[in-house]
Amino acid sequence: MKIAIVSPFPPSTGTLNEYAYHLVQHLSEKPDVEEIVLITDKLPDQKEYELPDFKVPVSVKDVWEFNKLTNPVQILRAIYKSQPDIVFYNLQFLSFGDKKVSAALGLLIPFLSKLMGFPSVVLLHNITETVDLESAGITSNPVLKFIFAMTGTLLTKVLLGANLLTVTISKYVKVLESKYKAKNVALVPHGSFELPSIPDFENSQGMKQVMAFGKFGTYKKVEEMIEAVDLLRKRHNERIEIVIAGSDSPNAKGYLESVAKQYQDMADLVFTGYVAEDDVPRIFRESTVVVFPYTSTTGSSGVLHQAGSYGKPAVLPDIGDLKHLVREEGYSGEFFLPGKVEDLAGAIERVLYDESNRISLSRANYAAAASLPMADIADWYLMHFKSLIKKKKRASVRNIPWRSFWPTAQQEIVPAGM
Amino acid sequence: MLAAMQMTTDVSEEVTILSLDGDLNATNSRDVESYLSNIIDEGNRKLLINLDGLNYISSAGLRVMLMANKKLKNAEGELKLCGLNDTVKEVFEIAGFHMILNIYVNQEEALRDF
Repeated sequence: MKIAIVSPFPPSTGTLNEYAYHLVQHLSEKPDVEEIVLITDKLPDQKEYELPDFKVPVSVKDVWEFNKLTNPVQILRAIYKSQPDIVFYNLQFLSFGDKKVSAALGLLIPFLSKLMGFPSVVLLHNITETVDLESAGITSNPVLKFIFAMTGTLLTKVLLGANLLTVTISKYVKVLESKYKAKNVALVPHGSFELPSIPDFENSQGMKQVMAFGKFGTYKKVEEMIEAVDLLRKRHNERIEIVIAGSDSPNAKGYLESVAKQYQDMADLVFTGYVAEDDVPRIFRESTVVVFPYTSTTGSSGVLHQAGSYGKPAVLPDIGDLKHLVREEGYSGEFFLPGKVEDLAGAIERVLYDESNRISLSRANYAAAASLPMADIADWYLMHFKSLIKKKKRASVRNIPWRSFWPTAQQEIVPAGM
Repeated sequence: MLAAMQMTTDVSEEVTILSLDGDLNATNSRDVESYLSNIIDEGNRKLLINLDGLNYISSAGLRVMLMANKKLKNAEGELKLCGLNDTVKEVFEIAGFHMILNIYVNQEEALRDF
């Protein structure tokens, strides 16, 4: 099977780049996969991608750019030239741009690649129906909220034009099926990128370290976490290190620099900047607790799965999708109300200063991560890919030309065994 | 007996029947997978998993079904499932598994189709 994957890919800092990296890595280890074509965004300063050694040939076609209106043409041309058996899109609504037209044009691509006869699968990491626009810092204006909702509905309909749309939380399937009457939606869990050997849960020596990992500035804001840890330092008269690991969200450039300036006199506050793949294990292992300083959520959390993989306890906002995910996949954590510094401090305190709780949360998260490794998620996708490829072959045999051009939002996933 | 899960095996002609009772989730999914793997490794190629007593299945549990199906297919065997209650059936439908795995209403119907 030859798979084309449309996604940002490290060292590109586009969102979902790490997910793509790990999925490619695990797909490349499957006997059914013969070749992968990575259709990704161009790196700054005309730098070239240097890929690690994968088990099958992986080629890069860096043909698109954030906010570029010609992305659909470039991507569809790359797909056509590659002639893959399946095209997989790793997306969120702003993957191709934060300007309305470029973002919308980009989201049309899966439907267009399906029209060209390539079975197309979209992994959509969030849906607009569950995003609180006000909490996410997008808008509080009722008129703009209405416009965003309408635009989101329209773009979701466009994405449902792919052969199959997968989401990482079961609640999303229910929303899409009930609102859009879609029958081509399926749950495929996020999965854990890596599963290192069982960590030493008991060992918590050295300075306590509170870490947040991600791309910050939109709905991930670190000020309250810094204030909360500062409260605990004073309360317990102890040095506690704060590590902000990651970079600005592409939609909030300059955010971390402004935070660093605001807290320039604070001790034991570290901004790591962009974290390269090789440094991720060290960043997680050195932390005592991983905090999710989110004001809203937009889908499943790769960071929570990583925290689980390294056996780390989590402090999570008591909101929406994260809470749902925790319950669904068996993760565990201390919860806080966003906007309440004292509440966040209490949640961190219950982990840092209650050793049995810290160990119990760590063990639960490791067990949850171990139960859904990315290697098996790759198999989950292959099951769907094979089903779609088989369906395409059957349609070709029947030789009905219009069949592959018909929108499939109402079509059903065809049984692989039939 | 595992955390919140009980497994029993039976044989009907050439078919091995595994009955699961309780909740299949992240806590016990690895143990159930290992139990299933052993059954397949012992040479059983016709496997029926009866979920009549299963109250709940999480994503981790779905993964176990997927792995069993893959392992049996690779060994040219066959997996069938039966007895899904409404809650479990909904989870299978959300994952699109109802269209990919062979699922029957009850054990008799599944056995007839092997």
